[in-house]
Amino acid sequence: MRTLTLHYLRLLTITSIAIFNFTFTGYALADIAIIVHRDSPLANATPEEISKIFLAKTKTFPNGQKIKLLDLEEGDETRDKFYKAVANKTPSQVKAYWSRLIFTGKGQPPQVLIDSEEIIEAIEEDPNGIGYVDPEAITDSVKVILTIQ
Amino acid sequence: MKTYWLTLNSLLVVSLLFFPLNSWSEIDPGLEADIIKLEKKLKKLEKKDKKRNKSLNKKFNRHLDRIKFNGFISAGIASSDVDAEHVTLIDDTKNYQADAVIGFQGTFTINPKTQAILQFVARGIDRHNVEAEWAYISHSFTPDFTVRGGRLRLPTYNISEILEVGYAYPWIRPVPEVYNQAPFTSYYGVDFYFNKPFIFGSDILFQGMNGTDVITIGDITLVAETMYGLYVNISKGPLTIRGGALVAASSLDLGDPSDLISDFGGLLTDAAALPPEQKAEFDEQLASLFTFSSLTTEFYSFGVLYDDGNLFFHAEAAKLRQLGIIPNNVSYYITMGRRFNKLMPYTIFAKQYTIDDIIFGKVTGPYIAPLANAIGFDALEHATYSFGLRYDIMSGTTIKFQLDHLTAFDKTRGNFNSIPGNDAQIFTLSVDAVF
Repeated sequence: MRTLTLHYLRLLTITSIAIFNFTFTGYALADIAIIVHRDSPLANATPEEISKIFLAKTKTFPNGQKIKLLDLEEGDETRDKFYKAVANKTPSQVKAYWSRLIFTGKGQPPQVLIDSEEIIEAIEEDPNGIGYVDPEAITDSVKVILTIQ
Repeated sequence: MKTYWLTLNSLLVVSLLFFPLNSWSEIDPGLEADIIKLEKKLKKLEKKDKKRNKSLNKKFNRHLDRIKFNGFISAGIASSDVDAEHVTLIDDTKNYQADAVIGFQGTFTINPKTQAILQFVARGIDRHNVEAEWAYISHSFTPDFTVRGGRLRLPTYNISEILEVGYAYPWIRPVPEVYNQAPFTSYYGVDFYFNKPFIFGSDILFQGMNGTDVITIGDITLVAETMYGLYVNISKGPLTIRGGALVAASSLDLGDPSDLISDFGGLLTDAAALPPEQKAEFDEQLASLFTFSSLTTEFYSFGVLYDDGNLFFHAEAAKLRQLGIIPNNVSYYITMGRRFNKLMPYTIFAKQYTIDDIIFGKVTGPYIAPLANAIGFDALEHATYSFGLRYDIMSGTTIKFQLDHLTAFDKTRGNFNSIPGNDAQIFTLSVDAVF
């Protein structure tokens, strides 16, 4: 009986570790990295600063260069998570926010690219670019300034 | 014999099987090197072609980025339980026009710092006659400082520049008590806006304007000969505080005096029954109506706005001060709502009242009301309690329902063209989209 209990406890521990690992991996996969060009003067940023940048409230980098925003397509899961995490906005709220800027002539939404690879490629070519990507896609040519879950 | 044929056949099969291998093995090594060379060349050409296509795509996208088209549309049905017509033109019949609007905007980037914007709006209440609400050229001297010139929207209140873009605000329509106070919504002129970091991590935005405009209501023409306005927004995170003032020097043309005299005939009959003191005041004001040629109007507004993504709270107050015989008005609204994913219930409380004891507002009769109402000379008072639901069907499309309960008219017509009774209800269902 004691052996059976020990076996049961061992099985429970293994299962718990497996569940923990799975969950942990799941969160790790859900990370989003906010990236800039390797030579960008921006070394790190807070979620509030990123929110201001992606809502076009901050328009320039510390060196005075105009920021080039790079976004993912509407409906992209990473995009939805990104705006919820930094600005607490749903896709509809983001759309309403940009509508306000568009129809007052005060802004145009960011350039939309298909995936993390395209965003990284665009940042490699434009030192003023900023985007958010899957951390697994990151290359040496870009710099991570914030990681969010 | 049989064994002989079998052996011959086997030899034939084996030779056929080995024939291709033998032939390949016999290829000239020089030719093989040529093939490898050609393959490399082909790969190089493919790479070059890919690069050229990418460059062409980029060039094409760059040109495409220089011209952008956007639009918005709203369609709705509204009705009230009184036959008096509301300022939104809603009465007790089914009204599909009051909230129907379509807008189309073209943004043309002339160079990285200069843009031209043209926005056409067609409203149901104007039978969808197309009007240019925005038509201007803008130049950004720095990313934070922009000057615009042409036909622009007045930035009087928080959402004055997006009055028709229903998708961009929570309610069915901008709160009429505040947003219908200013007779002018657009103007010809110039403005600037300047944004910079302010104290405690906040941002400050200044927006200043100067311009002119003309509006006509029936036979009456109101000319804003010059308007000056300055607005300041301070925002930090979800909180925004805004305030500003607009001063307009206007002239009023009351049209053909003979038409007015017949109306005033009725007005004078009503006024004749007034007590002597009020009658004297009435005569004085009536005389001034014909003698004044210029009118200074001042709009003051102040707002506190909070929106953290889940909860929103807006409060805006406006004061209309007219240095003439037209009554001065105060109006405000408080609204709050809570988002539950795609659904957002909200409430609004709005109030409007006249702060002068103007005799015109207290005179009732069949002649004074239409005339005074047309010019906006009468005192107004009412309160509105609203409840609404907004549901985001998908990103870019929303459906809204709103119930307005209008009351406390204090013997005035409130926001109606005639006194509606003790209270009135307005029901509206609308769909808003942006594209």
